[in-house]
Amino acid sequence: MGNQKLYKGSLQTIILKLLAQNDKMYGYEITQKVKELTKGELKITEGALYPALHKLEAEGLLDVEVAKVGNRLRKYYKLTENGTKETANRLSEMQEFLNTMQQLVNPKFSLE
Amino acid sequence: MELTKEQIQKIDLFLEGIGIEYIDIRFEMVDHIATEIENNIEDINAFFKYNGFQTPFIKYMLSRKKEYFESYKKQKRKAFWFNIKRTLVAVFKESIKPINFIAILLFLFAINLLENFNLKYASEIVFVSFFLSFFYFTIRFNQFKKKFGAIKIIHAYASIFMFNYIVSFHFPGITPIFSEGSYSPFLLYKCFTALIINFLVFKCFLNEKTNIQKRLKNLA
Repeated sequence: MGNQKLYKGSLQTIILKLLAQNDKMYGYEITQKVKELTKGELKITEGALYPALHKLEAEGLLDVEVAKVGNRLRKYYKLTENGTKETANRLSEMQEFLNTMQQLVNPKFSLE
Repeated sequence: MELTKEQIQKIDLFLEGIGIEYIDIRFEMVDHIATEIENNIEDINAFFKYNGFQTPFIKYMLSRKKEYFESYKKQKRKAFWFNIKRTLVAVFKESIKPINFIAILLFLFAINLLENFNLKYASEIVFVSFFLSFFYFTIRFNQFKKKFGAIKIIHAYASIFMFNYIVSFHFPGITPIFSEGSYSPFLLYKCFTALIINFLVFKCFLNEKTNIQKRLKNLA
């Protein structure tokens, strides 16, 4: 497993990107999807995930929907209209960041 | 295999037992743990089967107790500001609803007329209205809090009520509004603003109250 601290600043972008690809998701589903996509490299803890989801909700980027699933309640998150716009901005910022990092750590190659 | 109502209740009781008091945070944690158990444990009945201190469920939960509590503390801290922000947005939206906006303007107009006629009477009317409204809202609010205090957002309303009260009474105080020679348009409109804020917060609280009752019915 790589250095988790390096991923910390990207957690919100990761969540937004996943929600852009899936209509709505719940907390556990997000952690499992990230684990699956990164082949276990990145494991999101509850302590990091839920505050990040709530922050995005407070910023108006996510909408919530509470549904009864089996014998319990489940909170689903989905992107708002602003959330969809913000996802595009953050992904482009992330790409710029990756390009800059690439130039710094390995100037010979480029991601573009 | 899906967890039964009793098994869900065991998770909920465990979390409540370790100090995860607010149900609006807890229900999401319950779902997370329940899904994790459903996906990773093969024999769920054996996992929950009571076997003194050896119950695998208890061992599983105890091994993650610290992690759950840390996650809760973090969520609780952030939920406070999130709820305050959400409540203030709701108050603002309430204030720009045409019916409220017109009512506030009419009241302001009436107070302005009365102020020009007699500042003392205008000040006393606004102050008494503010004081009575504060007293009434606090009683209604506390009755609800006694029953539904385990819902975190309730505390955001309590904080805004108290903040409005402290600022209105002390910075600078509005009580001199009653002393001879201390009447001033500034104190009058400060008290008027506090009264309007009280009214709007209370209206939002009534809306939230219905939502909470509905949500709690689902959680029960």
